[in-house]
Amino acid sequence: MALFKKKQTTLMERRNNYGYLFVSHWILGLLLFFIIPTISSIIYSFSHMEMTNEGLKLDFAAFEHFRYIFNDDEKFVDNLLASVTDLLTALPIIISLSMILAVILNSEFKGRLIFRAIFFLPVILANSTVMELLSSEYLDVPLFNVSSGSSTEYGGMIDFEAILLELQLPKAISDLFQGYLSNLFNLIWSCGVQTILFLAGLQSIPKQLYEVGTIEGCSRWETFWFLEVPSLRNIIQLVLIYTMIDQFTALASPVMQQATSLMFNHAIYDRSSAMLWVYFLIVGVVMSIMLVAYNYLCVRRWE
Amino acid sequence: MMKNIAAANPLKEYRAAKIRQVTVSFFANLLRYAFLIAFSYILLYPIIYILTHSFRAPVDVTDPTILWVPKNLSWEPVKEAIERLNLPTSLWSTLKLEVVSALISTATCGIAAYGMARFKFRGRGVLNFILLLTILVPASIVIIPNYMNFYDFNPLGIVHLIENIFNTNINSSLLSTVWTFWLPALTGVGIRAGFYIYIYMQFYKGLPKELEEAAWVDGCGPWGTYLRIVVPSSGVSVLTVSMLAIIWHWNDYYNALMYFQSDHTMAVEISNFVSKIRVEGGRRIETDAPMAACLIYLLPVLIMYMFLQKKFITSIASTGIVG
Repeated sequence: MALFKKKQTTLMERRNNYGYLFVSHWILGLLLFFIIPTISSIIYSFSHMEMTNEGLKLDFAAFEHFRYIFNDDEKFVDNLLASVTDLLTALPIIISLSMILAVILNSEFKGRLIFRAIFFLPVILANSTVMELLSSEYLDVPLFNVSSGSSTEYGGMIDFEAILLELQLPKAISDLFQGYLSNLFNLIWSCGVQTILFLAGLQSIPKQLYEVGTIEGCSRWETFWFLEVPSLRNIIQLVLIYTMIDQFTALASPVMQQATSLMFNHAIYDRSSAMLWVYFLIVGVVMSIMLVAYNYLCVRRWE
Repeated sequence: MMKNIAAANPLKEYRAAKIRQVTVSFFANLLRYAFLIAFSYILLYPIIYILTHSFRAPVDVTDPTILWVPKNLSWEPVKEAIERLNLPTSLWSTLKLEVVSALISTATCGIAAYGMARFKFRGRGVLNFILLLTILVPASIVIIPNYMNFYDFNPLGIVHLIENIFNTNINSSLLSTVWTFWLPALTGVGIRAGFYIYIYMQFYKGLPKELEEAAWVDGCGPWGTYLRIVVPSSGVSVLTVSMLAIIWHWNDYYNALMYFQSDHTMAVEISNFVSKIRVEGGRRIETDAPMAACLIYLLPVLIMYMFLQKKFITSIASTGIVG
């Protein structure tokens, strides 16, 4: 019996083993350029690192760096909080904006192709070197640095801050709005890939569903909430993951800025590795909380 | 009163309904275009800004009346930018490092993804998990260890073993050679390679299996099946991945900065140039050369986008990334 069973599976097994043929180079690459470097980066974060003439010198430091970045570093905890709150405030805006854009771009109107071409520009330009330079302090390009006050003298933007002051909203709300406004540019610029994903999702909704909607007398608004949004639930999840990765690993996020400047400007590798690992763990926790919450609060209801 | 008349006259009722419909759709359209144009302004702004500033004559830089359209045109900023960017050299190193390794990645990631998507070999679950990690772990975590790695490239001790056996001295540093880019690309772990493998995997999972099984039955080996059946029918995903790969490699800054210090790539040159200007020129920038440099740097990518964008957008939709 055992022999028979073995004979039955060999053909499939042999076929499946061809998989190793296709992934062998990748396994080698993962080992050399991902797994070993990742492990050594963990080792760095637990040791004092010194570059000598003979090469790298490592002394075990236990939790020294972790204690340092939480207790003695003035900026790290603030940056960490800033990174997480930035993400949490940006996430709903990015997702709703890109969904609105996708719905608009999915409808029939004149010049749709031109607008599509324009709206997917961020896919190629966002996070690029040029965008970072333009929004950096080096080139004082108006509209990029709304908060720095340079925009008003060019007359490029309406003075939103003054309007906010006039409205006399509670401070928390006006702060939130001000954060959005000074970030408006970045927010709109980070909607590119998300819009594409939503658009692709919208196009894969079968036409019959819309027909049922019109026969039942749904308004456009109802069609959106009861037809399109529930059909997009998997894509919303994908977009959530993508946006979180995109925002967290963006070099503009405060922790990444601090760590990379430690690394590349001051050549302190051990402490910056520790920072990045702490950051990565917290990112992982936040991401899984968001995904579980999304599954419980939204997907359960739509299904 | 009005309602009575309307009800009594079907033609009038029809007209009123028609007028209402037309006005509603008119305002909906108006709103839509207003929204779209406002957004387009924000998205096109940097490009318009770069374009209008790249060809300004030096006279116009300090002229406060000029906001957008320059009064005098000249090639001066472009010339200065070409010189500052160290152009033929930096373009060449960008091409041979970034673009070539983008194309290599397009091929090698496809192969790895095919193995992952089609064959249920042992350990695939672990590999799937590691794939997820390569996407999630920020690239800056592995840059420094990889730098050490390339500084004395000795995979699993093999190089030093050969040195000891043959009593020779091999220069084991790979830094500032093309291999710092080509080796990761060849082994499918280049810049953002996890994304490409993921895209390919989703695509291959959606391909009908029957075709490959037929080829298998007809005597094609695994490679024959892949090269003759799968690759020719995966043009859409190849286009998507190669375009994303070229764009992301073109924008790569830290890898080029760390691993390749002899001839800088364009991304490194442009940020060096711009950050130097800050030091030299003080707060107010007296030249438009940075803008011209941005234009030169973006031009190849923008041209590629203009030619391929329609195909690119439809192909992203149809590669089945969205599942």
